[in-house]
Amino acid sequence: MYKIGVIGDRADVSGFIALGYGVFDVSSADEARAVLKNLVKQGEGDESADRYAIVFITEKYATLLADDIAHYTSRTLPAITSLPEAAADGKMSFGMKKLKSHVEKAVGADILFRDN
Amino acid sequence: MPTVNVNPTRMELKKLKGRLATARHGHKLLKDKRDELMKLFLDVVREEKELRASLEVRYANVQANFAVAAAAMNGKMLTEALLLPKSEGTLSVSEKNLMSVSVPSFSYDESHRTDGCGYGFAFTSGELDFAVESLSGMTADLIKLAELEKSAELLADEIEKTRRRVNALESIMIPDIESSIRSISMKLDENERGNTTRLMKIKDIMVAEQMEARRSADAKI
Repeated sequence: MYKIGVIGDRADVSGFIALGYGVFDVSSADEARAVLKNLVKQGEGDESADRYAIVFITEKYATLLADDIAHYTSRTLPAITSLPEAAADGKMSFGMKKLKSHVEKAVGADILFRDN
Repeated sequence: MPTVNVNPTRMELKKLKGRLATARHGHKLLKDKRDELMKLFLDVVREEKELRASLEVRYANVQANFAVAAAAMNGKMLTEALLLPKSEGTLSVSEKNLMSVSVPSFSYDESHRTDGCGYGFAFTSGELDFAVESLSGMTADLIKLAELEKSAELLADEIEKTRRRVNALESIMIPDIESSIRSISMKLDENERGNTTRLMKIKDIMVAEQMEARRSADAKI
């Protein structure tokens, strides 16, 4: 069975417990990294086991774990996505930055955000 | 100039011409693939951008709702109330094939969803109900966002690879083969001309010898 995981600070992610997501509250980047690694590995190659198909990470940890997330890019599963949190002081959020980098990689120039 | 290290034979020339035709064909196909991937990719990223922008606003509201709920309730109570899932939908994953890039496609089945909350109303605040409800309403869009982001990621990867292949064919492989073909055909032409001159020269010598022989025979008479 496929599951959805959420990684983040307790205060930010506890609401997801009520929705039945697998919630992992962490307090440091290292802890988050270990959890992410486990979630990616879990159920791999075993059809009957539970497997995390989607992993949401809060903005804060996504920024800290950017390299680790990039490491898993080429895998079809899990889809590691940062939660749509708006970044503080009006800057571009991690998710938007990632989207921008994809466009730059594929097109060669940023054609999506050039207006702003 | 690329180093041309081939035997100047007709056999080799024929082989190279075959390779050139294949390379041109492959180049055209890859170019078409790249264009089509780009079209799909741009659709995906535009949709993702819009969805993410709208979810950022909605998620901020959800967070605010939770903050209000947390303020209205005792922290332990809040954690306890949230422990039992309100509804557990099932997530199913299938693979979609976009131009031979397999991307995951998620669907969330909420048919087992129960109305109401997983907690009692006695010790919880009304704000919490509201917060959980608003987060729950986002689930489908969050899953859609994850799917779009993964698709964009995989497509971007594939486009980069395809573009490199197109460029390698266009600017290295095809010119290399063309220059090899040119050098072989020049060499073959040169050999051909050398051969003709040699034949002409031999003919001249033979004619001269025959004339000499005829002359000496005539002189005897």
